[in-house]
Amino acid sequence: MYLMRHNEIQWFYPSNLNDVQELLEQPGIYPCAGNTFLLKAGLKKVKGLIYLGDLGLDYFRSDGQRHSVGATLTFNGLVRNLIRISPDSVLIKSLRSAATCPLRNRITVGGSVASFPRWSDLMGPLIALDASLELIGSQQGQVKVTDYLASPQSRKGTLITEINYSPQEWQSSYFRCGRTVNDYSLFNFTILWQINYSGQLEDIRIVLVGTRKKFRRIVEIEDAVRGLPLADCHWENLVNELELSFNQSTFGRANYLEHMARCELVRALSRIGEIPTP
Amino acid sequence: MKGRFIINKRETCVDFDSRATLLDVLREQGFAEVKKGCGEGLCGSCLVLLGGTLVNSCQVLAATAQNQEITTVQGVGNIHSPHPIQQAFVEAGAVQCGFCTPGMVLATYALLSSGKQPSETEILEALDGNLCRCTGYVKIIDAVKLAAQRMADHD
Repeated sequence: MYLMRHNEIQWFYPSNLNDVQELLEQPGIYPCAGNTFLLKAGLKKVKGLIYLGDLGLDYFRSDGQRHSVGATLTFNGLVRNLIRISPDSVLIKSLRSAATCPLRNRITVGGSVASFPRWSDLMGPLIALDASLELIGSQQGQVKVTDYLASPQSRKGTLITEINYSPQEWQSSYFRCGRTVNDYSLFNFTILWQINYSGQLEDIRIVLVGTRKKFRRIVEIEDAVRGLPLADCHWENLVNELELSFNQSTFGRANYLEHMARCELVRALSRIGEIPTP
Repeated sequence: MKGRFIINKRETCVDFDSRATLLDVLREQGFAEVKKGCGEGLCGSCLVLLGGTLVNSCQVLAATAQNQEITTVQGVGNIHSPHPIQQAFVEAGAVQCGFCTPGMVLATYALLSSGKQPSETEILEALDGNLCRCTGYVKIIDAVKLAAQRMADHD
């Protein structure tokens, strides 16, 4: 027999989003699809779980104007879809290195945004791609990922149903620092850039995830180099002038992580010119 | 709570705790080939196929796996009628203590189900959720390549 546990969890299996909306209003009831984060966080306070697997939210659509990712699509599911239409996508680079193959078959995109663990391999690329979320519940409609993260109110009693981003082509690099391949990342960063025909850096976006405030969009560097010829980008100076702060953790001291992040950022930024523009 | 599971093509009704993982349910039902290892989804000893997709059964709440096809390594083949992957693992010497073997075989099965010949990188990526503390992985990778070859020849 199973060990005696606290209270029973009530399970709900809605087949449409209207039913989900009603359930979200009740305290102690949470959405559940891949359930990997729920198990990690513990089920002590959970009174009920809404299973999202029957809602058909595991889709990927692209209409040329935007890519739409259903919230219950798994990491591996998204990678399989993107490989066909956008093989250089930064999301492929980042999600392929997340967790392990069977976990990537289980972790959902929506759940990963809603929980946003400090080691997330998904959020850096989504923030850099300026993604938006479709919400239902106490807050309805579209909201930018960064606004969603900034406002705890948008997270309470809401469900992410879809993630959208522009299919605009970027060149990209993704770096993940971890003790071993399968370990949580200590920090990771995403760099997206576009170089024009005269060799100038037309646009660039840099997002570092794992800092004290979970993530940091490095606008100081973005603004300083936008429009410059690559040869005029003095990456080492720019990175050294940055204010970066990490939490002390059992995985590494804060100043060690800061030093590592600076080194890896300089390396990655210096390689921008080496990758040929398509 | 009560639930209906289809385990190795056999339908069964089970009484289970609403917080139980699929691993709990499977072991309670006597599927001892699904091993309990780390309990965190990192070692791969509890792997099963859920609706044809490779998952860590310790990371799946049983209530979410109802009415879906669940395949354990016994559903792939057994000692009387081994699958070519299992045969390849034996012949390549990829089995030592055997604790990780069910998970390794299922991860290989999931990889080779697509029908294409995997590259070494694809093999490493497919087996990145399986830990083995005995073999050093070399013979396991050899076994996967051997199985892939045999299955391609068979087709």
